[in-house]
Amino acid sequence: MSQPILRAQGLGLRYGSLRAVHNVNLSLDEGECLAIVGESGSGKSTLLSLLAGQQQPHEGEVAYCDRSGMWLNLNTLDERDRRRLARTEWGFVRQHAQATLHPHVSAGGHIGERLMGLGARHYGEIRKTAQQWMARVEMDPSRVDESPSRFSGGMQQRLQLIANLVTSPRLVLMDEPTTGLDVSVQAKLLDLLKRLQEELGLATIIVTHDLGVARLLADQVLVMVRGEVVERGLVDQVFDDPQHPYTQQLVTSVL
Amino acid sequence: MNPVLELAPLNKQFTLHTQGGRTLEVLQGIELQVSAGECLSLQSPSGSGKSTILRCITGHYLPGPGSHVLLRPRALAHRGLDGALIDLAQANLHTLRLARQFHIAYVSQFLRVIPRVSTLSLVMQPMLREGLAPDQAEPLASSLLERLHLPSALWLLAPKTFSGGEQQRVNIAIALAACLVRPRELILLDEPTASLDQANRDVVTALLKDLRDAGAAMIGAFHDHDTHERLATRTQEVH
Repeated sequence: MSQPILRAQGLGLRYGSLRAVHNVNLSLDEGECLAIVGESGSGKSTLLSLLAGQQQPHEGEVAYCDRSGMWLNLNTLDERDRRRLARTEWGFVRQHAQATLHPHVSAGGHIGERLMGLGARHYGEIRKTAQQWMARVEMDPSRVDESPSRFSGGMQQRLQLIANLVTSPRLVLMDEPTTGLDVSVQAKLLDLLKRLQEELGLATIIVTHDLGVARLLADQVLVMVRGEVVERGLVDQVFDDPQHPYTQQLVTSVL
Repeated sequence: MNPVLELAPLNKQFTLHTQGGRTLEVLQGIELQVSAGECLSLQSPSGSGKSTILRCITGHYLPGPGSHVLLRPRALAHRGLDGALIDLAQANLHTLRLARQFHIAYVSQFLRVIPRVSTLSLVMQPMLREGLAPDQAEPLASSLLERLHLPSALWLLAPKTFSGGEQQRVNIAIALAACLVRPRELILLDEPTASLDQANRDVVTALLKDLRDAGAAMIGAFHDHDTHERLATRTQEVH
């Protein structure tokens, strides 16, 4: 417990002459939640994609410690191993569930996809697992055969979440998972995320511009301004005693 | 005996960037020590930095330049810190998090929790994190709430609508819940009895006294004289 699971050092990426992410260092422990906050265009999502190994950084490196305790450099990992990690050890939850859900594949089909990717073949078992997960996140299991397009935004987001969790990942990366939902739906989804984090001991990295989300879920916060981390600390320290002018402004804007 | 916690010293200033960059010097050169079984009572008028001292120790506030916040943790098998003296003012986030999770209990002045979770669950959570099963945590959490005279009719409600005194006792229960599973070596108390009547002050003081006598080192800011009299083994002026 509480061993490091992900480390980034001197991470940087440029889009032409624009420094989208510059010199980012971070470390995440097993079961820990890191929130990346900052305004639109500050490089939050770019940083997330670098941490997930979806983009190659121009500078620095990301290392991940897998289940067997081996450190892997994500920048030199070959594509096949990266995909294997993405299927077995990581989850990725996007802001727009619709972009990841296919209208012609049933809810159960989405949940089963990752299981089948890992070799599950027994249709009845897969279906049963899918329904168990639906019940666990307060979705109606009898809707397992319906198209996701018939679900509400909050339910689609739950579906996207459990389609990731079904193969027991150790690290889940989330990009604004509650943005665009009604406040009450958002609250329920956040409570659910909080509960799952605790129950499953998940390490999570969550990109958000909502300080309430960060305060609720995160242990650790990174504050980004124009591609740089201007402040990093435990969540209540960053919000109760912000050091950087931008963070102070951010905190006083909410309360 | 080696102190559990030592400030050698603690400085703290706040720079208010949104208010013209004004700097407030709140604490300068505060030095103190506290050992196991002791309760150090911080004495000073309101607004002179007692809460700030406590929050700098927990890391809710960042200790200022030149500060040394030395914690001598008990070594724990498999988790927590390894027993070496650490300077919380210089520690990395990993160490800070472990110190807070396994070695320091902090009773804050006000309850701040998710408004949708029941009181009983809130008190059980730290016990579950300690590794208790739900059917072990529930009776333990219930007996703690009972001891703090919180009516059982309230246990399944979220504490948001409770009275000030009830909220304060819920806050104490949450902050100390983990200590009942495994003692913490340092307990920080920020006005733990401020909004309690005499009877409830008595039950809270008795609980804290038990934890102190079991060997916890305590630092407290107590406004009411009675609590101070019953808990404090030593007093320190802060200015």
